[in-house]
Amino acid sequence: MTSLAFFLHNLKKNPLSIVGFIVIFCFIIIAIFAPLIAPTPARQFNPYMIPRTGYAPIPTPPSLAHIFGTTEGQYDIFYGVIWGTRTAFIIGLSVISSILIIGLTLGSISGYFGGLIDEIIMRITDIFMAFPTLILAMAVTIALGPSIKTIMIALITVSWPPYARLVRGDILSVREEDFVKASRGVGASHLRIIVRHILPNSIYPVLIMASLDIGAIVLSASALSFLGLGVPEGYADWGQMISFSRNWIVGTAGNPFAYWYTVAIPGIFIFFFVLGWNLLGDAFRDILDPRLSRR
Amino acid sequence: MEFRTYLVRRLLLLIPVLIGVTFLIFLLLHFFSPAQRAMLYVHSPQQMRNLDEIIAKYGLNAPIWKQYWTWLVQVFHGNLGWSQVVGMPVTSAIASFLPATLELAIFATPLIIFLGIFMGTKAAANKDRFVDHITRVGAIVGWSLPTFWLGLMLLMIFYGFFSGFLPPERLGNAMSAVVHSSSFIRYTGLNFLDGILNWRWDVTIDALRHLVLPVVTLTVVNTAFIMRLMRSSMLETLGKGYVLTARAKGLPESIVINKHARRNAMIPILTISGYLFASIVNGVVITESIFNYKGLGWWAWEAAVNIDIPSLLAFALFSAILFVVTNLVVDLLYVRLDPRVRLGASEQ
Amino acid sequence: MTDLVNISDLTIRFHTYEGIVQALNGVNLSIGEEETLGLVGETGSGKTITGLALLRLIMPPGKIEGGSILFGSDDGTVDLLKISETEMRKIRGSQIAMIFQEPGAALNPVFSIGDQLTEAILLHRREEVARLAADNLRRLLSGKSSFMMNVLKPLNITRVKIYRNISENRRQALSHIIEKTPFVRRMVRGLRGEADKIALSLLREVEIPDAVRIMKQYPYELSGGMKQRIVIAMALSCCSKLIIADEPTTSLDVTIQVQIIELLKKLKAELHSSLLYITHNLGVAAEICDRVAVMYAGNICEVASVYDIFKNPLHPYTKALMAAVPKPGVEPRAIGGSVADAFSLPSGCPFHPRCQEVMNTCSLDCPTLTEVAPGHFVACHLFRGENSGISN
Repeated sequence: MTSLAFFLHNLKKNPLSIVGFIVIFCFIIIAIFAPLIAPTPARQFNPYMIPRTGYAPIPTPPSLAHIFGTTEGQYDIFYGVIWGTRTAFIIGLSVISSILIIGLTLGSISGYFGGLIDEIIMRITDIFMAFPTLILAMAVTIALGPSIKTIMIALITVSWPPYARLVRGDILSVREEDFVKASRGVGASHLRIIVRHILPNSIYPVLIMASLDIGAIVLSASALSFLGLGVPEGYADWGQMISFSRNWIVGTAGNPFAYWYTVAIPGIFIFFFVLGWNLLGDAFRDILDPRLSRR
Repeated sequence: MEFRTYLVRRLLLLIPVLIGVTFLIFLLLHFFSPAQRAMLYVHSPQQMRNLDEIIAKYGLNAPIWKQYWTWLVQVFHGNLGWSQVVGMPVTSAIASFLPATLELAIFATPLIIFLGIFMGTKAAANKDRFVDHITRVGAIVGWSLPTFWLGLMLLMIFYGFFSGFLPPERLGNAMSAVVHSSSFIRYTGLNFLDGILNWRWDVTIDALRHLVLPVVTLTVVNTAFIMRLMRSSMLETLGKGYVLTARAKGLPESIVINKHARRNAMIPILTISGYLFASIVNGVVITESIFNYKGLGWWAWEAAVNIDIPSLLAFALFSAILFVVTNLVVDLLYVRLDPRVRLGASEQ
Repeated sequence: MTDLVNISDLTIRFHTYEGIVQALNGVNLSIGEEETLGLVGETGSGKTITGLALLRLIMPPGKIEGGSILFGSDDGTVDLLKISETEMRKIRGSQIAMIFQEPGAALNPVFSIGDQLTEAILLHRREEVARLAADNLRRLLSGKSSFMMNVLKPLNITRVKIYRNISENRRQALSHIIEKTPFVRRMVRGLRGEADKIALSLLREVEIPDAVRIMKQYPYELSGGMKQRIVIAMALSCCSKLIIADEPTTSLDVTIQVQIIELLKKLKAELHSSLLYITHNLGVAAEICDRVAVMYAGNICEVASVYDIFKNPLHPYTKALMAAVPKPGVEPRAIGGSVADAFSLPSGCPFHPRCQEVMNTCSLDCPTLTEVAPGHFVACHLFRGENSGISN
């Protein structure tokens, strides 16, 4: 079976992965066409700040002017969730690519050279892993002040260790294979061996972990924003929008669901975004894994 | 490697990790002014009036490593600083918030582990049948839910809609009064237990009512994770030769699955337990803050938002110790579960 | 000699995503009592499946889609494909046992050898073990007793009662509960003790030195040859009527192979079981079997006594197999073509594309096994006319 045929066949076998593709595709469309779907008001410089119509604390329900209503402080929910999609992609993809690079580099060095370097790097990962990720991220955010860059740095700081370890483990097992020894015998440099021989073999588990992790990263980012430790106030971020709804979940007397839109809508966006990535990650794993075990 | 030697060696390894962890946070928090950092050395309200003195005394303008050393010495004398956020010394704060979090963890953790393993096993044993599909969908949905959103939604439904049947915080007003009264003896600090020990069932019931939603919130996400892992691990194990042997011996299917397959399938779950622990701690912080449940997680969040440095440092220290101890326990369990692993050989 | 096992027209298909695999296509085979039948064929011929079918351990996506397996069990002749799962489980491990190909994979890494050996014994020979335990304990009680024993006397008397109950199959539920409950379990530890003794004797049967120490060890601590002996011991644990050995020596070193084969020959002489010896190695089959059946792509090609099949092979495939074996001074000849694709078997006789003596009918009709000489069966159109199709 050709690779493409195999890929499509696996897709058929697992209809959920198609759902994942569709969901993420929709989000990509939303992110790309955000300025068209939710245009930034004239004279607003930063499109990522949610426009406010007033300062009243009570959220207003959905209406023609505000399709999804507004949060407390009159932030337009529709604008927020549309541009929040961009924020989510930016954070997710930046963080993942960074930790992939860091993890691959450190892991390869650690695994390939072994010895003292290995010990040191492994102790460093131990230290980082001993932290509850949220606390370390909080500390970084506090130290560096609220901004989207801070969230990314914070998440990169806490998420890279598992990748380094995974790469190291893979390299440890591949390092002793005959083809590596053969390369060394021919006189290939360390870098060449790592990049051209070892990494292509060890990369699949790392890719699988990365695709499964994007969802978790976005969840952590929104948690940080929710706790008030992430983006500046008014930034288009799903987590932050939910934090605006905290005081309103009990509704008014007699109608507990009066302000449901403030908490439900941003939450649904987060949920489906993460769900889509998780389904995709699962699909990748199903596709790549059989190839791994078929080798 | 002998057991005692191993244990001692592992406990000694605690120290460099702790130093690393606290130094890292120390470094990060160094971005703040000396006045704020002076809180690290205060242990009574009066001292706060003389911050300049403290700044001078502890050399808060000196280089980092010198300050770090000063702080370390402090810690060894038992002073972890003053927690501005709750207005008491850090050590007392830990003591008073620990039982609350413990109560939460006591209910959530076994649920997560057992439910996850059980459902994962059931799903694998009934692959592609109804149970399997429900479990897989449940697992993916559960894992994709943001913990804080789930908590809020649950609160909205059960507190708002069902008029306070499952309320936030630890105890209702009435029971709170009871618990703080002089006739109520605090044996353990765990409300539901103390209620029983004091022969006051209403306290216990109230405590349990308040626990339901936080426990559910904490459990859903993490159980989903374990379920998926257990399922794939079981599926892999069920394809192994010794499972066929067990069936060929004529053993009933339940024994084949529960005795032969499951024990082998649980081994990867142990490997992941470090990650699970981190996930639970994160979940505790978020859950406690949403439900205003005054435990260590709530305290940590308040400290972070209000830049209460001593509390953060102490919390980091505490969770780092917990993490290393958990790792040790996990390694010991490894040896018990998998005879191929010898003490000191598990460097995963 | 009556037949112990009679497989008729067994058809097994695997419904995979890539297509339907015809694993067995109307297989007819019989194994006599105390007979060793060799089942020879290349990888993919369906020989392992046949063995698994005898234990009814065909897992999805495989499905048994036709035929019957008559087995002379303790309760009379039964069709293994029709009895209930509960009854099948009583037969598995006790009346029919299996020796697997890869001993390393066949043993559970987290349980000790003793645990695994005694498992089948405690399952199938429970009453016998309980009786032994009861007798043992009674003897102990009636003899000289120390102070400790006097103190524990009432406890021990209860234990004897429990053992008696188990041995006479009374109060099953209660004894099962006792065996499962943590502390009370200690009362019936005598069962495990007796099972251990049986296990030790089995280990000695398979010539494992230092059996007592081995019982406490784990599979990863042992060599391949040792592990295979233990797998053999497990198969022998319940004095089965039929033992299926699925290529037991394939994964071992040649020197160990010889040892295992010698061991099997010795056991064969001592036991009164039938042995189905599955292999791809003709030489090994010659060493140990009374009769040999040759299989190709899910069909039985030829069945004959071991002497006849080597002296006078009739089926073109059998002849080709013989020619492919290297012999001093003779050039081995490979069989042209490649093994039939399981997804799309050739029409008619599956061997016809590679057959040297192929005729027109071969691609149209699949030949059935016919007896061309006493005890010598062939499925080939070349021999059709000899005896008007007495298919077995």
